[in-house]
Amino acid sequence: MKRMKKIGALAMACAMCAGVSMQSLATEASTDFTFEYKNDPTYTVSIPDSVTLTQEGTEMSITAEDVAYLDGQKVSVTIAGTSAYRDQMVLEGKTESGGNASLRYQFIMDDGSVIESNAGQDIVAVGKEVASFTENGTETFTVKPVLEGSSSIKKGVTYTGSMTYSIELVDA
Amino acid sequence: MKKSKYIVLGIIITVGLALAIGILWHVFHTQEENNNAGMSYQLDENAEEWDASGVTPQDDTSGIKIPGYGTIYFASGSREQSITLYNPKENTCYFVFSLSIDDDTVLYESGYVEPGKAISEVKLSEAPQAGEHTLYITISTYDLETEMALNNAVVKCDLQVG
Repeated sequence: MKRMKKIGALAMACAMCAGVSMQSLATEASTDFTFEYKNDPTYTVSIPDSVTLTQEGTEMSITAEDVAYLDGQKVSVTIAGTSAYRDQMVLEGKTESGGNASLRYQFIMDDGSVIESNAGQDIVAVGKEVASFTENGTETFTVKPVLEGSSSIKKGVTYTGSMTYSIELVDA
Repeated sequence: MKKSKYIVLGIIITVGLALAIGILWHVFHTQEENNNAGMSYQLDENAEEWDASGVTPQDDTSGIKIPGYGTIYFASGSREQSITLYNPKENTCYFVFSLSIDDDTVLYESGYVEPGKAISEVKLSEAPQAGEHTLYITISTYDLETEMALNNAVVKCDLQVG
């Protein structure tokens, strides 16, 4: 009887050991995480490369892409400067005789407002916002030459100029 | 009597061993299933094919694509810094990048960068001072064929130097 009890206890002990072995046989797995924080571009703004003006006005567009995670800010595109003297919105050219000719131009925005510069009236264009985005999109406005009010406008002249845009994240 | 004791003992041992084997089999079988299947999820019947073209740059967008930046991080006391100055592959003009801090002296200027290429490391003319600044990334663009100057952009972004 005593022997039987011992053997019975041994058998039960075997069963218990098998249960305990569940813990010791548990495998471990791990995941390694890495992240390299790079100074990469986060959004894209498309500006016109060149625009040929017409008397009636020409549409030009500014587009923003990959706009996300702005945290209450917006992508703002403003006029930073032009190729003309004192950053005026002026195109310049030469007459056949070598004389200087200049021509003002203006942006007519979607809401009807006008962005232009006029040295005589102390109107400056630098800093004026031409487009803003809180998400991907395109803003379109019209660029038009100002053909009256200046004696420096000459026919038969090819007027050229360029503009520099400022692009930044600002509070919306 | 003695015989029946051995029979009972045999039954007890058999049951004990069977229990042990059963537990061990369950442990190994479950582990193997998990290893082969990874996460034990099922396919979501609401998931559908998704057109990502609406949020990725469209190749047919006209104009010069200018990359914009969030906050840039530079190391103080070092002239060598990491920043990705990229000319998007869709462009048809060269980029020339110049960097200045707080609209001060130009600290770096690149040569022509072709469309699709990027500069990742720059060497500034002087090391930036620790603190919060504004980084001005001036991008001058030039026609690929004539090298005539086209419209330009100045990208402003917050600069943390630490």
